[in-house]
Amino acid sequence: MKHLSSLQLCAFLDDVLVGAPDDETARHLAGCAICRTRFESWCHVDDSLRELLGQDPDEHAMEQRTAWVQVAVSAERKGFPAPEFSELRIPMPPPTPSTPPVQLFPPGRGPVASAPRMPAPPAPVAPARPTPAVRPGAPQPREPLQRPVLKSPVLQPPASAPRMATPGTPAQTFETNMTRLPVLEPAPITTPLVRADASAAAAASRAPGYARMPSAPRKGLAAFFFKPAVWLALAAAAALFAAVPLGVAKFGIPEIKFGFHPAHEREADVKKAAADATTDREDDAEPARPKKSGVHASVKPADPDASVLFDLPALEPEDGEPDPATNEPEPKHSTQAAGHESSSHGGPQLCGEVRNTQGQPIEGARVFLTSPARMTRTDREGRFCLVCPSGKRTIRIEATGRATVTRTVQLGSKRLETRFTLDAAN
Amino acid sequence: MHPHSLRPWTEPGRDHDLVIAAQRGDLAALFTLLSAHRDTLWRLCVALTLDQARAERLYHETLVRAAKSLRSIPVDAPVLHWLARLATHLAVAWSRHEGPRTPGEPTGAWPVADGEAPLFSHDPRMLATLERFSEPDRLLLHLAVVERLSYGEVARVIKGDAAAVVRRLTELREWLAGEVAA
Repeated sequence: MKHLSSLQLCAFLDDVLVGAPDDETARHLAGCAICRTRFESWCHVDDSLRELLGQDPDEHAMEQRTAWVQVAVSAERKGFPAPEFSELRIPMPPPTPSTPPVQLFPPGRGPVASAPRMPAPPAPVAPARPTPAVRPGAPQPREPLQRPVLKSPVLQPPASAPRMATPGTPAQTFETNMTRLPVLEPAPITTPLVRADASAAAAASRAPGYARMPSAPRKGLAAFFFKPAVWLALAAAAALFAAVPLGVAKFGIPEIKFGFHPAHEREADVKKAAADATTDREDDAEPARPKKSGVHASVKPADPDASVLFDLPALEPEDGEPDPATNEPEPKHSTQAAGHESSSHGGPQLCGEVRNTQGQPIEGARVFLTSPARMTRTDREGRFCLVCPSGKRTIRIEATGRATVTRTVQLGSKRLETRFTLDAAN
Repeated sequence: MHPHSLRPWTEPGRDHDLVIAAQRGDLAALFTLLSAHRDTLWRLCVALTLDQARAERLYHETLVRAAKSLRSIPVDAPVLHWLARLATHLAVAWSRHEGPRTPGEPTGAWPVADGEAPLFSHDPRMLATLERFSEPDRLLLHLAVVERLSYGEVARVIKGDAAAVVRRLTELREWLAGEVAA
């Protein structure tokens, strides 16, 4: 006789076979003891699996688990970090034999009184908790309930609730049942209550295991001064008021200058200076001739010195150049107002003239000194003069329509004369 | 269709409106959706972890992650398929990361389960054999035997082939029967 294959057995077990194959399999099982035994063992496995894994969960526990999920999801939706599951789910203490026997539900009600879902095979590893005999009338041990540490947002029983009710009452069964769930552990009372009602404070402190209720929120000025930030701000203000007289006594009153001039005011100043210069030149009996070479550009009415009027951006020092931050402070006005006289104005002078390839002077060429940042323009004779510290300096000459020339010179303690020739731009 | 397939596993349009509302940010719809499948998902978590505490954690994390990735819920398939795959992936990841249960922990000594009864107390050999199965195998057994889904439904849940489901289910049953009989 050919026995049933495993696939046939599996399909027959799952009611997948229909028609003739189903009838043939049934007839074979009726006549073949080996296949029938095998089929029965498979049925036993299926039944065991359904008993093992197919239990419907307890409704109360599922509500609690769903509440944990809702807490986490709501926190995330509101932008808060979701609490970890370990923060929500508190591991239950292992059952101890000293735990007094409890009745979870009144007789005839609740899942305990009903028949267990699973058939009752002997529990080899996890036997049922031993139930010590309780003599009627004997005093019940007043052991405190084992409550886990507060971490879960579960409602706290009111402070006025009895710690443990009489055994057998609904309150007791409820509270005992709640011990299987995470229950708030009240914080110990460490600070005395500052209340006029001393009796209430004493009563609150006598209540074992329950935190006192929070006091009423402060209002008005009391709430304002109760904030630590207010006291910190007041302390900072007091320290500032104490430090100001000391600073004034030591350094004097600081002089505050407002040197801001808008662009239109600066242009008005330039035009006024140009008009004054023209008037002076016309008043002179002598014919107007350019002043000596090296005349400061600022006195030239048409083209004032930009370095005086404008704040130039600091240029990056080139390689090998001294750091301007380490140099001594320079005079505010870099160009000299008059002449090529020696360093009577606070430092050596770097002067020169700028001409084109035909030898004609270029007027208005821009002369840049990279470090320290200076800028001036050439006069009508193509001359310029800058005051700068001694050392290796880089000069860049720019003129409209001309190629830019950059040169590095070594400036000593005296005046240095240089000459630049600018080619026409390509 | 399998005559016992009466669970919400086989109702594709059952949660369509709730899924759409939850994807639009309706928290109430989301919680309703998750609560509708909580018992089924809980049984699945127990089957995947074989442990009360781990099942609780798996149940929690599955639902939290489901709420996070609502956009990826397929609206044309039952939500339970998606939840089952998510729970299985989490269980596999945790099993790889944390390893099996502690060696010293006796089999069946789970925390007190719902109803003050040990969760697994009737057949330690069955439990020990199940522990050696992988999470996908436990999922397959759970879907086919406990939830009584048809082979096609199981294949749709695990996104596999029905023939492969039959073959693997047969092997697992044979193995279990041999271990229990031994």
